[in-house]
Order: sequence, then C-alpha cells, then structure tokens
Amino acid sequence: MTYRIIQWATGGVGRAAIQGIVNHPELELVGCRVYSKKKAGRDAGEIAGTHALGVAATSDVDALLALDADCVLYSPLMADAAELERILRSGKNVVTPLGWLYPWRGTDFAALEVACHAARVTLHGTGIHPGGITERFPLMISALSGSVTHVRAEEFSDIRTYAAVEVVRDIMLFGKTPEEAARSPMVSFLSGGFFQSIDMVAAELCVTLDPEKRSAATRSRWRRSR
Amino acid sequence: MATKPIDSPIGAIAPGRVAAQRFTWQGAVRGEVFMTARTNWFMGEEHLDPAWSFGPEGERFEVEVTGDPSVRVSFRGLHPASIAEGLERNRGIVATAMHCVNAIPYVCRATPGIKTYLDLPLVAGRGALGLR
Repeated sequence: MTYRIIQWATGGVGRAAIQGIVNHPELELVGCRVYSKKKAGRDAGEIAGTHALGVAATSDVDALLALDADCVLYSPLMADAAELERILRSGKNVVTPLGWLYPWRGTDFAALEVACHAARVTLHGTGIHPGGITERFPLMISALSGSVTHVRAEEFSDIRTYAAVEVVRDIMLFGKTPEEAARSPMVSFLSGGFFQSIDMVAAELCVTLDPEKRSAATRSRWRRSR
Repeated sequence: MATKPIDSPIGAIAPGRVAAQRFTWQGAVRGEVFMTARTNWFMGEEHLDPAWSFGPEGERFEVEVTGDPSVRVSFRGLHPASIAEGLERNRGIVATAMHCVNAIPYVCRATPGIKTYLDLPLVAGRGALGLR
C-alpha cells in the first residue's frame, strides 16, 4: 500500500519532509503547497534538493484540497486552525509539528475532532520538543520505573544554528537588552505545546496536577568588558 | 572577554545584550514540581554573564524519570556539527520532519479522530532504499 501525500509548506521542515517522503517505501508525494510566487510552479523535488518528482508546487489551496491524497504533512510557519479544519474536511488525514499533541484543554479541538469524524480522517500532532523528547520518550522510559516523583525533558542547544533568524531576533529577542527581551512572547507562544505535553505525561502516569502550571524565562548577557 | 560586539547569525550583538535564554514550563502536585520541560538556548558558551554552559556533555536533549529506579537518557546527534551546517540543514529540523513522515502510515491506518502517541501503535522509521 502506498499512501499519497501532500507536503504543506517548504521551509526547513517541509524540505526535509519531502526528502523523507521520497525515501519512504510506503509514501508518494502528490502535491506541494508553497507560499511564495518564487516557488509556485517549481518542481517540489527541486525545491527540496532531491531529483525532479514531477510534482509542481502550487499556492492554489482549492486545487490541492481537490487532489486525491491520503495525508497532508502540515508544516507552515504558523498553524491556521481554520485552514487545518478545511484540510481535514476535504477527507485528508493530517500530521503536523505545530501542536495538537494532546489538545483536550484547547479551544479549537472540538471543531477539529468533529471535522475528523465527519470526514473519517485522523489528526496527529508530533515534533521533537515538544512532540517527542517532552512526552513520547519520557512515557516510554517511565515503563522501566515505578513510583515516579519527577519527569524532566530538557534541551541544550546553540541557538546560532537555528536558521529562522527572524524568530531568533524579532520574537525571541536575542541581542536586545534584558528588559526588552523580558517582553518576548516566546515563552507564552510555546506554552501551549509544552503544557499539552506535561498534561499528557501526568494523565498517563495517573498524576493529578494542580490546575495552575508555571512558566519562567531567565537570561544571560554577553559579558561586558572592563 | 567581549570588548566589542560579537558576531552572530542575527548580526553583531553588543556587550550587555541578551545572548542566552532558558525557558521553563512546570506542572506541580500540591505545589511540588512533578514535571519540568526546559529549553537552554545559548549563543555559544563563551562570554556569558551569568557564565552558563551546556556542561561536559555539550548540546543534547535529555530525558530523566525520577522513580524506582531513576532513569536518564541523553539524545545526541540531533544537533548540527557546526553553525554553518545547522543553518544549511539542521539535524533537529530533519528529525522533526522525519517524526512526522514516519507517523504517516500509522495515522492513515488509524480510526477517525485526533490521535496522540497514546492512541497510535509504535511509530518506526524505515530502512534505506538500497537495503530493500
């Protein structure tokens, strides 16, 4: 059985996903959503740096939704729940690294769950951190342990390797004064995903969390010269 | 010692400006922390005040379950070997993409609805093309 896939957006994740789809024995790329005029009409394989795939990238959403496809890998810069619902209602399963890891407390899950059942499709949220490191692997590792009192998932990364410079500069506010950076929306922007992961781990481990969760940001500066 | 602005992919950063950030999310039970998720995002490990570092293990992801017994796993290989490599093709981004790609067959075979890791069977990768 080969599943027919549409790749939605061709940023870092999208280009790597096209490479992965091409090399996966059960998957075939049949459509590719792009957002810039520069990319529209180009071969999806060429955009992803593989061989030509005979799939022309397009920004025509209606044409993509009309395609006979089994699944959309939905990875634009920002998720649009209304657009996601349209994709599901067109009869396509969706896998996305943009949330919906464990969305039962969210405001948009009811509409998406209804759309899934109406069109008989599945929505699955995944990723890396959150979306793997934060809950999938802690849950797996917890199977080797009993009487669990604490779970920790932690990332140690050199942010200079992150190619989305606009995010690093304009949203995370690196390079700003500590007072300016304290106004970054990044922690609350990421809270939705990380708190879903914490909810998933606690629920499966039969732990009842306090209703209020905490988030915090601390910062270090370039050292001043003497 | 930083005596002048230091170069970074977002441009030169002056001394005194933010070069490392640590974000933490926690859930607690009756005030006692039960789960901690944290990102340590640093522009390198030099010239930082406070003098934060990744520790001897360097860049990584870490998962720790405290219990009987306590277990700790360190994930290496999900970080690029150099800044230039990361900007070109970041292994963490590739892993994110592959986690999505590899889930697709299982998601296509699932019953309708929003499905999490707790609902789907074990998701695995696939062998290289030449090995089939």
